[in-house]
Amino acid sequence: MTAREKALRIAYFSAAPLISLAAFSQVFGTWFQNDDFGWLGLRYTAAEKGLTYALFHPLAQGTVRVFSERIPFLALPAGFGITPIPFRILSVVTLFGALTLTALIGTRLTGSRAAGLLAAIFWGVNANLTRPLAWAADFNSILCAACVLTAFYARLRGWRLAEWIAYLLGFGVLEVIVVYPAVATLHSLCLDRKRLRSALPLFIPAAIFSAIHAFFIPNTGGDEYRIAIDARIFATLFEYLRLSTGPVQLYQFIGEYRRSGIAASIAIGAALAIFTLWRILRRDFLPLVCWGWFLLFLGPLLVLPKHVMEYSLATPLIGISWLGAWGVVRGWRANRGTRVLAAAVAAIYVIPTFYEARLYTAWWRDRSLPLRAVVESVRKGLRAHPGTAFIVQGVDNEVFNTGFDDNPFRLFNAVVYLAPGSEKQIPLIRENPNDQIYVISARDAYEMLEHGKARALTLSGTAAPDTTAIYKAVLSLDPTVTRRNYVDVADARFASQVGSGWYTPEQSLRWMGKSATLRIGGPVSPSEKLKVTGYAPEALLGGGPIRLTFSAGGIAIGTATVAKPDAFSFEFQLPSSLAGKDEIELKVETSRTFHPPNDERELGMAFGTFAIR
Amino acid sequence: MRRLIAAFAALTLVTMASGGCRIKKKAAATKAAAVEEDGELASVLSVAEPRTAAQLTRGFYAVEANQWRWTAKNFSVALHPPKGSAENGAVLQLNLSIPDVIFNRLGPITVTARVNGTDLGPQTFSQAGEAVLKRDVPAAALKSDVVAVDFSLDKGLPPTEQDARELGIIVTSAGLIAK
Repeated sequence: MTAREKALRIAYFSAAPLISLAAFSQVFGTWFQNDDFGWLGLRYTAAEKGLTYALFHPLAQGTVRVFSERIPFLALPAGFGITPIPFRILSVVTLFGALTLTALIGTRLTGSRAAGLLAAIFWGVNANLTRPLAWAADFNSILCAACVLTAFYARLRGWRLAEWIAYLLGFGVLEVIVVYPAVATLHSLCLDRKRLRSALPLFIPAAIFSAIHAFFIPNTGGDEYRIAIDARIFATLFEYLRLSTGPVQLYQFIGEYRRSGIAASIAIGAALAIFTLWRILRRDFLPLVCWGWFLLFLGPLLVLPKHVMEYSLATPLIGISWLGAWGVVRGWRANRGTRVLAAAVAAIYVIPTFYEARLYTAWWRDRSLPLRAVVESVRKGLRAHPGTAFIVQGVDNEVFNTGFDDNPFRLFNAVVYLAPGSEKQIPLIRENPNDQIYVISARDAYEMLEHGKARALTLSGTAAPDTTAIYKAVLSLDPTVTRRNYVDVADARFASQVGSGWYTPEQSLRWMGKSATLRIGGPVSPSEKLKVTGYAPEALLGGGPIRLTFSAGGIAIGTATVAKPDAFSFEFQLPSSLAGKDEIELKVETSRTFHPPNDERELGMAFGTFAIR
Repeated sequence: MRRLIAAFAALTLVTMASGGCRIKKKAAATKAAAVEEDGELASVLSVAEPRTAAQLTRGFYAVEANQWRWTAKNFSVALHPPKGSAENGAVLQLNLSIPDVIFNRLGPITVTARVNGTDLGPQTFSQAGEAVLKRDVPAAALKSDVVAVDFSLDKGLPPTEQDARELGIIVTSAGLIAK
């Protein structure tokens, strides 16, 4: 190989990665968001329950993605701390590998190096790759594409062992790998019959994996992940097709050119359809393989009508990219007219899609920065004021939705409350009452600030400076600061409100004996209710359900039965005669107590919080 | 075929250049967060200033363009009365803007201000654009270290499907100025 050939080869293989890097360069400035915080806490799970549990126990909708989630989230924070850069580098390097394989496979399928390169570029600038590249929790989409491409390339080269290794590794990456044998079979049927026999054994691991998932791992994903095999499949497919053809999405970011985007996407779709028909009529079945790749890898997601996520397109889109690239090359080769047409279709796909990728990545990055400001301020504040809690003002629904409710602060053992009144800015808290725990009352906030037990941070834009003195002065204007409507019985800061009958706090819970009392601010209005949370361990319920009796201010307010060993929460209407009282005494009594082995305590029930709201 | 690759490379370069030019990095928007010790309560505050954002106590939405914020129909700030105001009183000043999108739909807007419960009277703004609300504040309302200043508009845009916020006016700064 001459120096010129070597240089051309380097240029050929680096073109798609460099163009893709230009489209997604802003991923390096993007911080962690949402599910990332749950996974970043995995190392604490490993410390508590063991490495085997952290690696292999089904988590997050019953998934076990060892290579794409468990290992990266255990290893990278352990090696580099809580920083997203190693995750971004890992994603981008994986993408580069996948792009190279896309080019190599495209070349083999079409016999054209230009088509291979174009396919890699088409895929590498698609805006649907934004989240897989810029969200550590979605690295699985890119790694899955890399595994599938590796297996398929090895198949085309006849490297059976390499194909099996990449394929089997894929089971620890993303569940959609079960579709690979069908794709390999389709390819063999359409283009390479002599390899058909080698495709059939691939179904065995897929069947075993599917059976394990179906029969042994419960689907804990809730309504969003409920399988629906009905006519909605077609609507879901249409939605994914719409998301796949770039320009139609651009208006979401620039607010204009909606019709142009739709027209461009229709033109691209029509060009793909015409090219597909033309090739099939000429008994060239490569387009069937490309569409099969798209539809088969998308197939498992089509039965989830409430979970249409553009990142799911990462692997399926590769099939369309090969088809589009092959169409452009064939058009270019045919005659002058089709050459112009092919170039035009390529341009109306690449230019808006590249632009959309830039805008989407910038939006995704900007979305992550306010929460970063809060988390970093808490982390730095904790260093300057060890042991203090933090009260955060200025969090709105959008910021809350980027991961506040995933509690990133537990990664530093920090206690963080939302400032009083935050619930008015954050409908998400109102929709999920369990999150009320984060909102501190004005009185408690003021008292904690007054006694140096908390610092105040105010989020504004992408900064969250310490505003303790200012916020304390502001809080003093609030007439409700004299009210204490919340008690965390396990938290030492509320010790003055905890009465008789309690044992020493244990982590986030506190056991009571047969009965216990506490003091809390009375309801402001008769509409406010008493909200109680706690936890009943299995051993406690060995003798059957336990009945809890509650009274407030000496008046019985209700009973509740705990029958299941789990976290519980109850609400009680309060007598109107208690409205407006500065303080009332709450009393809880259990129907039965329990003596654990080697423990002299008589345990009644474990409670967490009491609130009147 | 090399011409195809060359043509495509040129196209991609143009695309990359245009994309790179259009998307300017907002240095201000991405500046790193920093925690410093807190400051003092301000008499005049810019709504975009993070350090005094704690004084925006109600009805302000997220800062935009690093300069201003939308308000709801009712909004409040907490201000430190300036020196000598407990004896001489002060002037409450609100720098605001009524965007065309609001004015065209709601018409003239009347803003009423109260300081620590003392009504300062309404002021009506009869055209779109930037404006200043100025009201005299009696000394009697400025005796404490911090005062609550409540603003209310006679009308606002209710939430829509596109925007879940109730929108009032745009505010850039609010403050008490010594007489």
